[in-house]
Amino acid sequence: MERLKVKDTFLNGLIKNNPIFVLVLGMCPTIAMSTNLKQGFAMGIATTFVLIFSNMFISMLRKIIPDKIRIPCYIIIISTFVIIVELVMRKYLPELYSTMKVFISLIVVNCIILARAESFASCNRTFDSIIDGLSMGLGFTLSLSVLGFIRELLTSGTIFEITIIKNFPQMQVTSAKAFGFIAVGCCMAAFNQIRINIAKKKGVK
Amino acid sequence: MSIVLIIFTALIADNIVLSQFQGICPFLGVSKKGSTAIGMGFAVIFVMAISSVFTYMVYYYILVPLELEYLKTMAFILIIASLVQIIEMVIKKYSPTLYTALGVYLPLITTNCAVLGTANTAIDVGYGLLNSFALSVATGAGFLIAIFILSGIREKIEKSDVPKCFKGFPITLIAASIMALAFAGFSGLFA
Amino acid sequence: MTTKTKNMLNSVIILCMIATLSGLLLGCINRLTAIDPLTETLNKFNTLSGTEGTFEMLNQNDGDILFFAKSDDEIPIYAFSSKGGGGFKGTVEMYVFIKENKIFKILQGNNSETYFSKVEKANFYENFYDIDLLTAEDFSTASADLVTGATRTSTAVTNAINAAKIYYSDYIAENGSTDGGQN
Repeated sequence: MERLKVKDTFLNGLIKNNPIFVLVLGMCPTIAMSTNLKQGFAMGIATTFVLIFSNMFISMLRKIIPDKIRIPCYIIIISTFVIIVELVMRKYLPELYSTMKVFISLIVVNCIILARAESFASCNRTFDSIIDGLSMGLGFTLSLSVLGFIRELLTSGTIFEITIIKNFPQMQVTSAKAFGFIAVGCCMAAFNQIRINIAKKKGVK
Repeated sequence: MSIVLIIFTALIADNIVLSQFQGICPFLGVSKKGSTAIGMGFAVIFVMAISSVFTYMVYYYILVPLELEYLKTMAFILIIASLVQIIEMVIKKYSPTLYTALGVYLPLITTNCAVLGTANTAIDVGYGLLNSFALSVATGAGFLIAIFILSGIREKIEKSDVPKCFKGFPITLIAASIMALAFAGFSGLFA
Repeated sequence: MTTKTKNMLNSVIILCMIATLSGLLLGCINRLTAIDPLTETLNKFNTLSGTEGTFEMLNQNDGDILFFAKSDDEIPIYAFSSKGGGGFKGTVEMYVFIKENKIFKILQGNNSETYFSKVEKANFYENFYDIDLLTAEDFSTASADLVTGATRTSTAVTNAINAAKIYYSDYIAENGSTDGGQN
């Protein structure tokens, strides 16, 4: 019984309740930070870190925090870990930090983290909350990486800044940024189509 | 930098939603009808204007003298969250009509990336108090323009025959991408 | 004490405790990850200028000049990190490297300007290379054609390079040249 619930929780965030394509939360960093694979992956890992630790601490303190002031408490806990990510990135990954500076601080208002804190971590055990944070974070990272891969390939023919397709017609910077909306929209539509097909198969069966 | 330049840049050339990609969650979520879009837009302008003043003062008169600049993110989001609570209580008490128009969206603005993002930008660039205030109001107005246009497009999309897998958010995103491309034409305007 | 005040006091205490704990944690991590701008900039000068010696910081935070260093090669390289106003998002920071009274390298510093790619694509920096700094006029927006579509950014870049030029001329006038009589 226990093991089944853990596995369900883990797969939950990856596919059934994928934060970007199903719950449509956390769109801001998705569209802005999926321009290339490296940024998308780094953003996903940073968000996963904050998700896991904030879920863990909120779940550990869920019996102590009074209901009236839960939002300020959640905000303090979440922003603590966001600031930790900022400080560590500033010291050890300065080039990546200088391009991603704006959106790393915006992880604190990422709807995913507050939504999971309110709906899952505040009424489940610590271990389950950690698994939930891990699964949501991995789902987010995976989706961001797929989007980053597609966008980077189609706008400049490179992956991780290694040229894959030679002499690729490079898209202009401003158009490449607007292409993000199209990429996310089409991926969401593809995801929806897969879900419709699966539901049809299950319905027919 | 002249204040007029700041205002016009924030309004169209460097629009917060279509060019800087902040504030997309409410941009997609609240733009189904024109009236809700306008309500959200004005609420955002209101909150951004007030929070710009408070975040400026807290940063320069409390955080910098105590050498606690690294707590900027935490301080700003706490200020914004508490301001939103206070504004909601004040509006509820003193103007019930305004509350029915704006009040529903106020809690959503706490997690609006645009508010925190603009506060951070104003500090990074090093604007003075008046310039930060002008930047915030103009950014909010830019948000209002973008969300209002999208709501008009969405109302029209409701009546067309969209393929099933694109219904809802995907087609909205495609519409937003065309808007972003159109606004990208303004991008070199005041540069 | 009524239950209402007791609950409120309880909430305030818990809020303060959580805030204090997170503040302490962040204070420790800030101490551990502190970066010193002086050593950072010296390292950057060492790697970016192609020098064979090492740089020594001569002055910092003097007006528009953030850092000014000199290397100990035979022909010394003077490195500036200067800022110029009027850009799209405020001031820009540029690294200017001078050898034998002529600028030979210009690179952008820590910037969040949006239009630097346009400025670099138009080879804007080459307008300032190989000009004898001690005899030329001050650089202004009339010295080089500003890049269309990035006028404010190129103005700020020009201002930053000009600040470096003026400081360099004043420095050489005061201290004399030390690179083998090239005046």
